[in-house]
Amino acid sequence: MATLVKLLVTSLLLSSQMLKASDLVFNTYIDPPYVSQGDEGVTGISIDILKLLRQHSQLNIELHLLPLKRAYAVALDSANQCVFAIERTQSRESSFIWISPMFISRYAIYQRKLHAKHLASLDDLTKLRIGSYSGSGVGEYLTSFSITVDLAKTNLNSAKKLTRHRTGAWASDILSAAYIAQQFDLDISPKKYHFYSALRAIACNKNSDLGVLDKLQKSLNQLQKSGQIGQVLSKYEQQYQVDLGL
Amino acid sequence: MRIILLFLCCFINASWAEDYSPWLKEFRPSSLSQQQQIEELAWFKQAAKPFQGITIRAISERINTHWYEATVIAPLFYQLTGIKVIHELSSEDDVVKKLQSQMDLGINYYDIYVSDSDLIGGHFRSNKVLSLSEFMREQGKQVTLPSLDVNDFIGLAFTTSPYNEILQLPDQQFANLYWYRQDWFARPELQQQFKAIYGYPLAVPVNWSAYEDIAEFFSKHVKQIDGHKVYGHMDYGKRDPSLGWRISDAWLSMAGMGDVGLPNGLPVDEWGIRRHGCRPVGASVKRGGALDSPAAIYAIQKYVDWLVRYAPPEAQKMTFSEAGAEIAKGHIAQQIFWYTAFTADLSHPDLSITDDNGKPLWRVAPSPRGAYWQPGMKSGYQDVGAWTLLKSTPLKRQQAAWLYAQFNVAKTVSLRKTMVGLTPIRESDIMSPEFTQRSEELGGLVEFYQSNARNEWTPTGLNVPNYPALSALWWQYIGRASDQKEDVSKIMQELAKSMDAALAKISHETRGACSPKLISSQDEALWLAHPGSPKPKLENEKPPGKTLAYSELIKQWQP
Repeated sequence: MATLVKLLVTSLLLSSQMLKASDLVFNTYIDPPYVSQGDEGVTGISIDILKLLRQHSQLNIELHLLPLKRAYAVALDSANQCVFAIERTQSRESSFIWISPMFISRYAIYQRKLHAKHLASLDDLTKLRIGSYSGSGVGEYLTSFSITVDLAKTNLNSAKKLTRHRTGAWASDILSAAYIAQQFDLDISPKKYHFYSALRAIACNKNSDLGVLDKLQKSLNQLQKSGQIGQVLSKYEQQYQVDLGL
Repeated sequence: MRIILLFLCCFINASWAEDYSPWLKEFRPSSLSQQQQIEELAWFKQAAKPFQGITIRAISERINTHWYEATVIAPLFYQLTGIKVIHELSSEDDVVKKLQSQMDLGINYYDIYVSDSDLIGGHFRSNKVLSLSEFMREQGKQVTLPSLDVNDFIGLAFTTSPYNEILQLPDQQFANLYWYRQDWFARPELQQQFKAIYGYPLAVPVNWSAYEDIAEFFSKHVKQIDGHKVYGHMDYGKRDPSLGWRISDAWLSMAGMGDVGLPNGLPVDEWGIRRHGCRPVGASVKRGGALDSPAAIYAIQKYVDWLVRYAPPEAQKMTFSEAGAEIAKGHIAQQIFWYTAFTADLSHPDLSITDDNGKPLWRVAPSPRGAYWQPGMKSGYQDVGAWTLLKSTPLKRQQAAWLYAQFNVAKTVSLRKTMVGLTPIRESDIMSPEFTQRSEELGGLVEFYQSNARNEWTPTGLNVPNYPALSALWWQYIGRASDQKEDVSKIMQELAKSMDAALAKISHETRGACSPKLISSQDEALWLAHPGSPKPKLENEKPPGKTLAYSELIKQWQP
């Protein structure tokens, strides 16, 4: 028992020292191509932007990979903890201090290759059962228009539900959809109906060091204005043959 | 045979090209004759030729009018012109954030915005918003509808810079008016009971004292009508961005915090910001502003007290959109101000606030005024959502987007859109027989827009130099009073101090002839003794309640 207590105390001390060493902890979640984990470690659009931010701000930012719900909860509860890159919505606005925008995500509706319906407006979506995934925010958006939404655990699962005829359409951001199309052989039409965009941002705990957050926001602005973040996005647009229309 | 088929195919295509029936069928009524509509449609088709195949992105807030645009007008525009429009609908807060991000960073997130004219003070100072006057004269001349008739727009004064340049083209307008259950107010037993308690008739309140009495009457004395619990007031108090609009839109202007002047008080407006020339110079009383003045404290204290005492208990934790649905449930007697954009939502025949024929049991009237209000001040808030182009958008995309904007407000389309969304923008629509005929079913909306009173209900004006940066302060501070019950006077002092600090920050970031420049701080007593706003505390903030019969009040709105 004494050994266990000693271990626990050591671990707590270690983690508190690690936290002291870093200015901020950025919690993120697997969401390819924004965040992927593989042989090269953690990579993706969000990670490329994080590297630029670290370099420009000279802040010590620690990266933690967690499930989305956990990453969100940690940022909500603990000082100097942030979650990224999440949608900045009105309902979330008062819960965090926002470092914004990292980038914009464009959302579209996808259908199966055979018997795809012509979609001309949001009104046409009210006739479909649309798949999304928990925590994406877009499901909530569609539901607010009285559109039937089916939530899966991940975006990939939602795409698979479409191919298994469990939903009539799939709502996804276009980069994620292009990644899934490239990685998995799914019977989904590349034709899409664009309907929404969301600013993706870094959401930080409200008790975080305001000086540090101010420095971070200034760095993000500089990186946006200098076009360096635009270059990151262009690289992925080319890789996945997607046009963000910027 | 092949030649005949080819000929037939071309003939059919040519006929289709001249067949405007899908548009003429949808866009009726119109203030134009059918021939004039065809001429406008033909003009759009011709003007759009260089832009065929292009896709543009537009964004607006979520109200019925914009749903109609996104789901009906945008597809018909595409069919006519070949310009595809992704018309996104989002929360107002999101629209503002995206617009501001695009202005700050120069990244073309959208080709055109429907931005509230409340941002005009920032738009004219930023030099990032395209002057539509200049665009129509020069680079946009070929894509400007000859029959646009800008003088027909009733809200143009709100979207024009102090240099007389049109910066935004109005797309929809709605006002904040007093809303009440006329059927309940007309019940003889309730009229007798009210007169016995308060000593004057139960009718439309002219001042806040009467509003407060009526709120108390229904919540504390009447309590139930036809077996159902009722309340004398409805509002919302959750610490959320939407709370800020409630206060900055109208509370402080109705209370009478600012100065006399239309469209906004001068030199102190309804945000409590003092302006010298075109420069904002401070919001705190120490700097000649009024945000922590007795009138502001009175206004916010009333807001909190009424919310706690007379609204349904759950209202304290509600947001704008959650609270909006409440009055349709039929348990609210009155609301001090209510956004007329939701008129269509309260006119469904199956609601308990309409009669068996679908006619409203409610009415709208001028909002009651607070103890500090004086004649010549604005009477309430009007929202003017207006098409806004940014200089950072590439020219070709600006031109295509401008065509879409004009299509949404062209006389061919405008009256039909007004009949659907009830957010009128054109004099020709407002005075049309079709709109006039709907008077009985719209509870006073038609009378309001046909009168000159519409000029006294105004948006945020030129004193506010950066709406997105400053508006975030409102909900963060006022929410502490409504949601967390902190002391109002202390909160208003902190809010005024933060507003001053934010103005100072803007003055460092945007240097220009009209950018803010704080004046030095002085003894508050000096400013309070100065004529106009900030005004000293009134000895009696609750004068006798005064009401007027609806038929008398509505006369003020008759043309």
